[in-house]
Amino acid sequence: MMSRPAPKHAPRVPFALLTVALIVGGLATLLVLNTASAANELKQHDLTAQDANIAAQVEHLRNEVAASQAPANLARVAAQLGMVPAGNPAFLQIDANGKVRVLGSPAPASAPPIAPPSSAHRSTSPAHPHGTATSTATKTATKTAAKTATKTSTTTSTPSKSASKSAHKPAPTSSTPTPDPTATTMLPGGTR
Amino acid sequence: MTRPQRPASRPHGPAARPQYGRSRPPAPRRRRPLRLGTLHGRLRFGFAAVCTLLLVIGGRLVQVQGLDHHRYAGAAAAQRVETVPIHAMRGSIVDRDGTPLAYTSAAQDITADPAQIPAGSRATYGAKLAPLLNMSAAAIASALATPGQYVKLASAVPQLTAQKVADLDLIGIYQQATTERQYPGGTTAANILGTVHSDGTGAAGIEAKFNSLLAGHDGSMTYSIDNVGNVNPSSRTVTDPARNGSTIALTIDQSLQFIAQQYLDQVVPESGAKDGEMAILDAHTAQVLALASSGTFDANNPDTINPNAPIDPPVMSAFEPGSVQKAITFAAAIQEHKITPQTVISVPNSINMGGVNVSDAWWHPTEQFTATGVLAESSNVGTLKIAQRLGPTVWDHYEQLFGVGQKTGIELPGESSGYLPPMKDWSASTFANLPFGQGESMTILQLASIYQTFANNGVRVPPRIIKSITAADGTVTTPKTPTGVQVVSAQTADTVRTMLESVTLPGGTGTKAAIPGYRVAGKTGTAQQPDPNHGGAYSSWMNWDTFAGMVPADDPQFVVAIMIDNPAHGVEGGDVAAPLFNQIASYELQHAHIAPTGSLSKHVPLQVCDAVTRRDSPSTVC
Repeated sequence: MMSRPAPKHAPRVPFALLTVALIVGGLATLLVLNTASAANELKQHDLTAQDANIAAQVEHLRNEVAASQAPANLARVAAQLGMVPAGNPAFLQIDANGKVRVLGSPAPASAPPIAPPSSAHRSTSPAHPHGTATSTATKTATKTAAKTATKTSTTTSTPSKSASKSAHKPAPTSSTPTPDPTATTMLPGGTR
Repeated sequence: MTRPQRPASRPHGPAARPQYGRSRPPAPRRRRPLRLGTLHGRLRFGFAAVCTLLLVIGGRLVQVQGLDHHRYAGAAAAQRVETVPIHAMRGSIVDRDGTPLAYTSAAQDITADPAQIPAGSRATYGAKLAPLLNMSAAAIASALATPGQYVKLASAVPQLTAQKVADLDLIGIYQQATTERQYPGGTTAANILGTVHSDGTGAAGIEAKFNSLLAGHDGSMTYSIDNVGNVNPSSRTVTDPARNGSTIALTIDQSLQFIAQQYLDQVVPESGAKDGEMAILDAHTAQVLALASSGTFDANNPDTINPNAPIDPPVMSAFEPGSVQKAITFAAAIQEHKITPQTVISVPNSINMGGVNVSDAWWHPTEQFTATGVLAESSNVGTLKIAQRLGPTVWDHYEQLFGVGQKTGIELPGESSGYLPPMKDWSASTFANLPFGQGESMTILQLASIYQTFANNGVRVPPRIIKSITAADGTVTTPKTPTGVQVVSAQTADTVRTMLESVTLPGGTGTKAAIPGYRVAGKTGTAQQPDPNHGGAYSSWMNWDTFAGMVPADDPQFVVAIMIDNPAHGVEGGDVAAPLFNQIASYELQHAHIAPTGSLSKHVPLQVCDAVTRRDSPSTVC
């Protein structure tokens, strides 16, 4: 018991340094974490505000889209563009024996357009021989339909809910594809 | 492990100390007989006081911990826990293509705390806020002068505007999140949609009928807070999510609905009428494509609702149909083999039935009409002669089958059942009126439903307006199509359609309904109105003008029924309602891409012609 070695003191300086370093390091870490937390808090605040702002814009745009696609608005804008409601279209029916019958009476839309069509355009639409089932009549009708881009339809065996509902579309273009020659073509009824 | 070594390494440890507890002998004690102490004097009162106090404290403890436990625990929780509601978003109402007719958007209420705003800056506040809130600066300034700490400056301001208000950084101006019901179509379909109260619950129409489905269920969020109300970051948040309302898809076609209302609003003032109604049904499913009336309110602005008129006349108000319902009498007679379209009937100008004289709307000598002619020229006398062949009981049976006097069961509030007098209440002259549609009443929807029967080969399908209901979680419920009633055979329905077609051909009363290229079947009606100023007797100048019909006659795609209430004197159903049918049907034919069937009308003579009539009449007459 008495032969115990003299107590050897561990050097105190490194321990103190370690302790101080730990305390300072801990405090520094805490500071960094707190700062980061606060910074994130601020960032979150900004992003939340930005999010709210964007949400408000989306809401606003949604309202605008809904309001503009309401039929009342479409009708108003169409009228401003000089569009008029299309009249009753006429149809050509080709019977099995090749006879062609006109269904309906083609006529220009009765309501006057605000912007009158050019005379050049008018001249491209010749009068149609009613009820004469010659091949020329059909051809003319087909051509005219292509030029005026009215909707094509058929009353023959191929059921076509057909073509575009382009009765409300503005001026025809020359790039309109040639309609299927086998399909019966509607006479231009509406868009002038 | 270390303990046994301790004494060795630490000689001054406890082991080395004298162990008093064990080594010292216990102090000798003088034993006395046990007896209670006696209290004397002030000590007694003190003891009593302490006991009382202990009793009170103990009792209070029992009360607080045992009996009132929940109250205090709850109060404590309320101090550290906050529950905020999460409002469910009200569901949308869309048309058959999914275009929104009604939806809810987020908005802000702008409020102010007048106590925080110095009197001198009220005018400045007013000037800054006026352009954003669409109010006058003076109105804002005077609102800010309200005593108290709360005043609402504007309700349901759009988010974008609210943001601009917030950007002004005005002290004392606050915002409260709220929602706003939007009806982008305004008046379009407003009679069907109805509107909402200021608290967002449904007030009329679909909004009221399906309020619980549309409203959804509010949720809540619970979290703990510190003493100043900040959220404890690490605390557990309990969220009961809100379940948003369902989206209801109607069978309405928004464009057709708009056009129908547009035409009615145009025709009613032009014809000097009181109002007008229209119903358009799909021919086979009987889905309602449009249900319109003139002068409909703006759903965005409930102030435009006329408190003296039904909010949805097409299902709420009934009228006497007049000749338009002769089709039932004819269908019954054909089904019962009493007539064929060619049956010749001798029709005098008037007939005495049940003690009353009934005459035709125009003067004519006794003529030999075919049954088709009776319908096409709308002869009351001829119709009564056909009804006589049927007899009242059979006639009544068919009226019931066609649903006259019964609600259709459409999913709209306040539906009128119309009125068909029960046979037991009939007087001698009742059957002299009913067969041509006087003395009974129906809504425009019921009238359309009758014609839907003819369009759908004799099967009457009760009209419906709900296409589907989509819950917030995406599950879609499609209401079952009600089972149809085979009222007349397909053959009879086809025959009636052929006869109705002659109405729109030259010689008929409804030629203005004809659409070039298409075969149109329909019937005009001009019913006399009871005149309240003459004791309810039928007026000779107040009419309900009607037209109901379908296109194409040989393969109907849709059914239109129109009623114009009391147009200017002298105007008949064929003059107001038939042209309107032409307009709306022409639109729908193009809108729905319906091509002509290309078939030819069957020719049935309207009357037995002599040489002169044959020469002077259109080819369809003879």
